Amino acid sequence: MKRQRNSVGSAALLGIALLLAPSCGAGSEVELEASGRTGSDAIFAKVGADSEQRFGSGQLKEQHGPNDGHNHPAKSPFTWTTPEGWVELEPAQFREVNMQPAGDAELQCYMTILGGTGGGLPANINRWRSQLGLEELGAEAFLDLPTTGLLGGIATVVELEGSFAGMDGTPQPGSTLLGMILMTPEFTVTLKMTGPTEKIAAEKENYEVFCASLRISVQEPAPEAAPEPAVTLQPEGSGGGLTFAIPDGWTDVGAKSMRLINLMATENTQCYVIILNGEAGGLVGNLNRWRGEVGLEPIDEAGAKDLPTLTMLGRESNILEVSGDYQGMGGAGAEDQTLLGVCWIDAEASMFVKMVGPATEVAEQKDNFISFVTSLQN
Amino acid sequence: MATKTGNPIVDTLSYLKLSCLMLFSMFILTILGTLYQVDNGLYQAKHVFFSSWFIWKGGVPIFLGGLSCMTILTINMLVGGLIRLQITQRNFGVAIIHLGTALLLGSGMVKVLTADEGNLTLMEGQKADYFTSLFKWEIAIWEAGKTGPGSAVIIGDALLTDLAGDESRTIKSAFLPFDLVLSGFVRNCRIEPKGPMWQSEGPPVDGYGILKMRPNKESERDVAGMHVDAGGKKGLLWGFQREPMSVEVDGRTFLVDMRHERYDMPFTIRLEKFMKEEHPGMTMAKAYRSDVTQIDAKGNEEKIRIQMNEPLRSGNLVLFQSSFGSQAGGTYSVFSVVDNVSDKWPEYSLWVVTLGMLLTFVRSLLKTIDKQSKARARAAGVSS
Repeated sequence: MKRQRNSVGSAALLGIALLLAPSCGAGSEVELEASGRTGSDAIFAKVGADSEQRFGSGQLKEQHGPNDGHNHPAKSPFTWTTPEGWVELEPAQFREVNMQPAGDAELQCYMTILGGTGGGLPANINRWRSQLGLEELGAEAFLDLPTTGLLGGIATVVELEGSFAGMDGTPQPGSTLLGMILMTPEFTVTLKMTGPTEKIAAEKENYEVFCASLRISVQEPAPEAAPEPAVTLQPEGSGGGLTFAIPDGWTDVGAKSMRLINLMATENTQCYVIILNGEAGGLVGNLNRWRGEVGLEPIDEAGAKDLPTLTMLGRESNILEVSGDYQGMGGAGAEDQTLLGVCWIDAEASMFVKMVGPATEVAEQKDNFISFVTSLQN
Repeated sequence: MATKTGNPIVDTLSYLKLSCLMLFSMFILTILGTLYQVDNGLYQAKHVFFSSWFIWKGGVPIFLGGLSCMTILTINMLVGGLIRLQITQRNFGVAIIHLGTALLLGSGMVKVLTADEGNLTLMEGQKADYFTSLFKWEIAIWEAGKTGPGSAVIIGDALLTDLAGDESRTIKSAFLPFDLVLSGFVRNCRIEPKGPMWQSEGPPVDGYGILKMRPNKESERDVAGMHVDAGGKKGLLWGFQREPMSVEVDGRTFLVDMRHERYDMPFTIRLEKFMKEEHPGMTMAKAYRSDVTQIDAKGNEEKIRIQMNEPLRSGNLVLFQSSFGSQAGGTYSVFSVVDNVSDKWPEYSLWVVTLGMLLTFVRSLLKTIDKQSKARARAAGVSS
C-alpha cells in the first residue's frame, strides 16, 4: 500500500514538473544585445516612411486622373488602359488596381501584390479553386498550366468555373474566375476577374486587353521650376526594387540573370546594374576586375581613393573610366572599348553600375550614364 | 522480466502499463490531430497536438501533448530497459533495442525543440548566407545607414507570439536609446485604413488598424501584425509592410521592421544554374536540379549539385531542392533548409536497434540450433 502511494506521488511529481516546464517562458521585460544583422534589404529601406507608404492606402485613385480610357501619368507605380465601359474603383489593401468590368456590380477585377512568394503558386491556384468549390490540383498539374506575359514577367494563367464563394461565403453557382499569377522571389502579383460565367465570357476580351496594358512606372510631370536637365529623360523604369530615369534613346531590355536593371544605351553600348550580397570582393578588387577587363594593371587602395566620386542611392560611390581592348566575363572580346563603372561596397550588399561599349559611343553617352546613375532611387 | 527496484520513482517510470498508456495517448493524439488538420492545416495541428507539452482549452491543460508523451515514453524506455530490466546475457539484445528506440524518440524531441526550418530562394547568379522561416516572425531594429553583423537587435518569434490581446513585453537594449513595448500580436491580419464597419485589434494608429483574419490552413500564408511603442512613438508592425517604421531619437533614426525569422548559415550558397528536365514532348517536369557553389568562411569554393533525394548536407544543415519558378530575370530555385543537430540521430538509432535485434535473434537462433542438435543426438542415441 505504501509503495502504491509512493508511485502515485511520483507520478504526481512528474506531472507537476511537466506542467511547470513549459510555463518558464520569457518575462514581461527582456534585455537584448545587438547581436543580429540587418540584411541587404535594409540598405534600401526607406527612412521616414509614413503609414500610407508602409501599408498602402485607398488614396491612389486621385493620382490616376480621370477615367478617360488612356494611360495616366501618375505617382502610382502602375498604369493601364481602362477598357470601354469599365469603372475604376477605389484601390484598397490587396487591391492595387481595382476595377468593375462593364460597370456591372456582379463583376470584379483586381490586381494584388504580395511580398515574397505569397504562399507559392500551387497554394494560390488551389485557393482560387477552393473558392469555386473545385478540388485541389496535384503538384505536377501546375507545370502544365498555360502562361502569358504580365508586367514584363511570365504569369501562369487559369480559367475556372464553379460555384464561387464570395467574401460573405454565399455560394454563387455558374461563376467563372479568370486569373493570372506572376511569381518572383521578391513579390507575387495576382490578377483575377470573377463573376457570372456569361458576363465573364462577354468581358474576357476586355480583360485580356486590360491585362496586356498593365505597366509599371511612368515619369511624373516635372515641376515647372525644375532646372533644365543636362540630358533628356524618358519615362521611369524599375528593376530590382529600384526606380530610375531612362535617358533619351536608351532602351530597357529587361532584367537578365544577375542584371537587375539592363539597358542598351546604343546598339553596341550596354549599361546594367548588379547588387551582390556582402562586400563581393571589396572595392579595390572590383575596380581591378574592371581594369583587368580592358587589359590595365591593378591599382592599390590609394589609387582607388584618388578616383572621382558621385552619389548613388545616397552613398558616395567611386567612378572608374578605363579604355582598351575589352574582354568581359562572356569571353568575347572587342577592340577600342571604354568601360564606365560606378560602385559602392557595404558589409551587407554592394552595388555596381557598369556601361561598356565602343569608346566613341561611351564618350557621347557619359552624361546620360551619370544622369542615369544619379536618378536611381529606392 | 523486469523486477521492482524498491525505488518508487524508478518503478513508476518503468511500468509497462505506462508505456501502453503513452502509446495509447499518442494514438488518441494522432486521431485528434488528423481531425484538427482538416480545418486548421498541418502546421497548426502539429503545433497544437504534437509539438506541445499539453493540449490547452480555456487556459487549462486537458490532455498530454506529443512532447509530454514522447518524453515520458523515452524515460520509460531508458529506465525500463536499462535499469529495471536487470540486464543479463539473455536480455542484452532487448536492452540495446530499448536504448535505440529511446534514442529515436529523443532525436525527434531534440528536433522539435531546437531545429530551425525554412527556405531559401535564389536566382541564377544570386547568393545568400541565411535562410528564412516560413512560419516564424521576428522584429529587427537597426540604426539607419548602419549595417553588418552586430548592427541590429533581433526580437525572435518566441518573444512575440505570446503577446496576444493586452499582453505586452518591454524590450531593452544598450544598443537602443529607447525601450520598445510590444503588444497585441495577431497571427494573421491585414493593416487597413480604419473604417466604421470593422473593429481593429487594439487602437488605430495614424488612421490605420489591425484587421484580424482567420488563420489560413496553409500557415505560411499568414501575415502577422502587432502594436509597438518605441520610445513613446506608437505604431503598427506587419509582416508584409512595404517599409519599416522610423523612430527618431536624439537626432538618430532607427528603423523597426517585422519579417520572417532569418537563420545564418556557416557558409554561402550561390546558385550557378538551375536545370529542369521535362518528359518527352511535354512541359511536365521529370526532374529538376540546381548546380550551386558552397563558399565557406575562408572563401574556399566547392561545386555541388542539389537534386531530388540528393540534398546538400553540411554540418547540421540540410538543403533540399523543393521548388522552382521563373520570372523575366530568369529562373529561380527554391530550397527547403533544415538546421537540425539531430539530423543523423534517427539513422544511428536504427543501427542500434538493428544491433539489438541481431543480438537477440542470433542468440535465439543459436539456442534453437543447439536445442535441435541435442534433440537429433538424443534421437540418434535412442535409435542406435
